[in-house]
Amino acid sequence: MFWNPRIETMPYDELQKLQYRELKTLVNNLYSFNRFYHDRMKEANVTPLDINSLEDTSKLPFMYKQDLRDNYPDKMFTVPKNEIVRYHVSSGTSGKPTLVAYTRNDLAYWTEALARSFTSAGIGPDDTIQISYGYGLFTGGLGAHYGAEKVGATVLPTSTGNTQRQLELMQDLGVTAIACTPSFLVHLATTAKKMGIDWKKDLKCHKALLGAEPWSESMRQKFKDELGITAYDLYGTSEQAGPMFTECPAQCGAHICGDIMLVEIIDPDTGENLGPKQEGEMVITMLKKEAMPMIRYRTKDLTYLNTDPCECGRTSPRIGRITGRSDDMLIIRGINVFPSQVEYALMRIPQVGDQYMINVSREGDLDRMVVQVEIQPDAFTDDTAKMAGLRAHIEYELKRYLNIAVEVELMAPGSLPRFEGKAKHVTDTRRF
Amino acid sequence: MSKIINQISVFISNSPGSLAALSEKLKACNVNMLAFNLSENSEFGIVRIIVKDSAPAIEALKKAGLTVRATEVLGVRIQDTPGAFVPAAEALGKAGINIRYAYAFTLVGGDAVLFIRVDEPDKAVDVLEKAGIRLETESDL
Repeated sequence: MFWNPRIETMPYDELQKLQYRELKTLVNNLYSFNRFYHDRMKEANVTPLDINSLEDTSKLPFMYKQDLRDNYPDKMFTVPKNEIVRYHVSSGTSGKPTLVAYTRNDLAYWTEALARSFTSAGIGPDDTIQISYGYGLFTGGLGAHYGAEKVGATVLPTSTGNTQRQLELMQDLGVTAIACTPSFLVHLATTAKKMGIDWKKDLKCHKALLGAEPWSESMRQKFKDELGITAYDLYGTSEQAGPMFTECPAQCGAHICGDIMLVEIIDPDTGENLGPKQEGEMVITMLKKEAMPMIRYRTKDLTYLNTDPCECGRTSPRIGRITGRSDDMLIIRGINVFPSQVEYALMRIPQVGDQYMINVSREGDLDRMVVQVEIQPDAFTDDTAKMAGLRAHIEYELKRYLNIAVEVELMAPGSLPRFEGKAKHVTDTRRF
Repeated sequence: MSKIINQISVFISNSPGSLAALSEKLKACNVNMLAFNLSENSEFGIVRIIVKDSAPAIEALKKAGLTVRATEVLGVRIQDTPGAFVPAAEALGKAGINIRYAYAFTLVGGDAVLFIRVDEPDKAVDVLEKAGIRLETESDL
């Protein structure tokens, strides 16, 4: 089932020709009407006349998050303010917020991308979908809402919070799908259990679109086994528009609508373009955006591009699951560690419970990483030696996977903080 | 009446305030501890509690969200005098039964009860009774 069969199944070389025409049009437009990008191109000694093929994209200068902050709020707009119909402000964890602006067409393309995504996850008019992403300044709630409405699903705009009521409504209204963060789904599942609800039997919610934070294949399997939920990774950043792209039933990476976004993978240190299946930093160009330029924007998301034909028939390339952002990455005693790797290793150990926390500190001259891990209630025994053995086992597995020795602290179930928005699994008290 | 006592083992995290939080929950569940042991371990805590009626206490604590397990222990009743535990210890040693851990409390009136965790509780009950040693039951407490 395709929302837009013509574009979604367009032969790849034809798609690339389309992308080139869009890119050239975009660059012409920005060079003529966007002061910020005009100056940026001038600094890089590039004009629209230098762009004559899709490969010439690499001649264009990069854009960075800092550009959005430096030009806050409106120094980067391409169109007059009265053509802007929406603002979103992203959850900047430090410093100035990031503002994104949308024209009517920008909203339409955002919705179009999501309509294709929802359709590929099997969501349509017969579905009742609970949107448990935050509504408001965050792009998740409203984005998913418009996309779901577009495909004709019945939208339940619960946003975040009031978990018990969300579950009651889920039951009463026969909700069949949910869009939320993976941590919120875990929180819902735990609350459901406490309320005596058997998710598999009592609820009809068996499809989930999860995003806004990285999550692992092991978690996907857990959702399937314990809740009977088929979970799809929903990817998108507010600079792109918001949540946008998801996996097809092959569940092998999210398809990136080629007519809407152009993806390059670069070496984050040298800026050189990498080939398909090589992991690096994802650089994006929003080919249809009107209000704000987004050309060769460095996302800091680490992934790879897969241009192999997909069994679903969609020709748009796929990106691998985001393994971490380059700014999530921790360096512990000289070794790169991603919190997502820790999660992956932990979720494979059956005695490990629902929550973990990484605490990084410096003791004297050395970095110290302590992973607090909640245990499953069943894993508790009165035998101190066995419990110590479990702790040692978890430490061994983490060392095997991360290539550094970390300390593990076993924690009682429910003792670690829970998050309804973006999960924060790391506290780092080191000061450099 | 079974000579085996159900000790309540509770898992708590090793952080300041854990024991206080546990105590609050015990109070809320109306659990009155007769004997109590907190094992020394730098990574986590196992609190071992003896109560008069273990079954409803365990249910109440589980409902209150604690991670709880029932563990079989024996209550060896001895006089509160030096060397009173020797006969029991010797009997167990001769029978090859290993004592994992133990803790005690004194009763008003001169006796003491030593709670011991052994590897084979049923065999230990046999051995101790044959040696003429008195074992407490939950209702005796």
